[in-house]
Amino acid sequence: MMSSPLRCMRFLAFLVFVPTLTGCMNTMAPTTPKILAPSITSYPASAYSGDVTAYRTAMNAKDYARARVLRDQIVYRTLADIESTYGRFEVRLTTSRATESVLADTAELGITAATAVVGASDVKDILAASLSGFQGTQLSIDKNFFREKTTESLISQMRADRKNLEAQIVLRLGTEDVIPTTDPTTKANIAAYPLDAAWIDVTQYYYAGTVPSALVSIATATGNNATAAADKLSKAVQSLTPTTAAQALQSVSLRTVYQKLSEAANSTDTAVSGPAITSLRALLTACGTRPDASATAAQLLDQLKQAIIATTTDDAKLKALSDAITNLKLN
Amino acid sequence: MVGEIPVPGSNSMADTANAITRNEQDGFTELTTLVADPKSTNNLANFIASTVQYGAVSIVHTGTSSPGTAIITNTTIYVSGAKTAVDVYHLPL
Repeated sequence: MMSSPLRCMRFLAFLVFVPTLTGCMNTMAPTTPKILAPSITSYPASAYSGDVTAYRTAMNAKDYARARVLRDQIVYRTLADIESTYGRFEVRLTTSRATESVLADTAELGITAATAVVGASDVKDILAASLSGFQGTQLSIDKNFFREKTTESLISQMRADRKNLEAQIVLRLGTEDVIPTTDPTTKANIAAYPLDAAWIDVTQYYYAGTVPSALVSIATATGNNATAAADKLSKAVQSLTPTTAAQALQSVSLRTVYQKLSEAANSTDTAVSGPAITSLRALLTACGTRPDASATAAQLLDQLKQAIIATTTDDAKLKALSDAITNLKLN
Repeated sequence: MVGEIPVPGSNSMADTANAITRNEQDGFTELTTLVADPKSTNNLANFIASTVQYGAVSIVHTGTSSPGTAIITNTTIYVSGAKTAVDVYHLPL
């Protein structure tokens, strides 16, 4: 009896969403030109092995000009292969995340609608639990796989990282030979960029186009920005507090009282230390600190010291503590 | 506060002295250097932690006599926006 509306809704969902999703996917990217088909842009392993063997042979024969041509050819073909694969990956990432969201939204809407239609309370409970499960799963995927970053921010970061590495590779291919050389004009040494060194950069280039790498880059950039902001704030805040002549006198007076109380409270003569400890307690209480009944002289002095340090940048605290000293006739 | 702390270069000698006094007295610190910031028109004061209480700070034009103990002599700082050679003293307590 209950299955009838559900079956009907499932059928309607199939009729509406499958063509919609298919249509959406087709609007994500134009049809790939035939010359950019994976079968053409890919760099087969057999071709790679042959090129590497030719490169090694040229190096052994000290034919560095040919070795450089082969190095460039191997690196550029690999870059092209990675680029082609990456382009498809970007489209797939965008489409699959959007599809997941649409499906999740659809499921939520469907379950919500079904909950309103069904009459039995236990079926309602099951549907409500299913809805929570869907929402939780969607949130978990976003949180654990993508760290709640949007697809656009991930792609933007991957593109930036890849462009930086690509620029580095292209620059080195253009300026550095397969063996160390010397600039004829400046006589400066030019470092070598053999195939094996280029291969390290190419590997990094590939991984720069992955989601985990983008997440790390985003986190690092955020961390660096936070550190820079904290430094800036610290420099802005950390300037000496403007002080009037009267406040400077209050500071000297405050510190003098502390020095006197410190000396007296540490005295072995209880006739001296007793009143000092009593004054310390009274002073701390007057400035809003509640000293513990069992606090030692050292602990009370430390509390007072912290209270005085707090006045360094706070005019109101300086006034409150100075007033307390005057009221208790400690100066 | 300990460390290198900027002091506005627009301050008068007395303003700078008062600010340094407060930081020394309330912050349990001791002034070690006071110089003009080469990157701006402010000054840079350096403080280290100290449990000794000194007198209030006084800043005078270099060569001018002052009571107390000279702690820095002939240093150039910004006073009211202009570079000025000064001596820094701790007045007697």
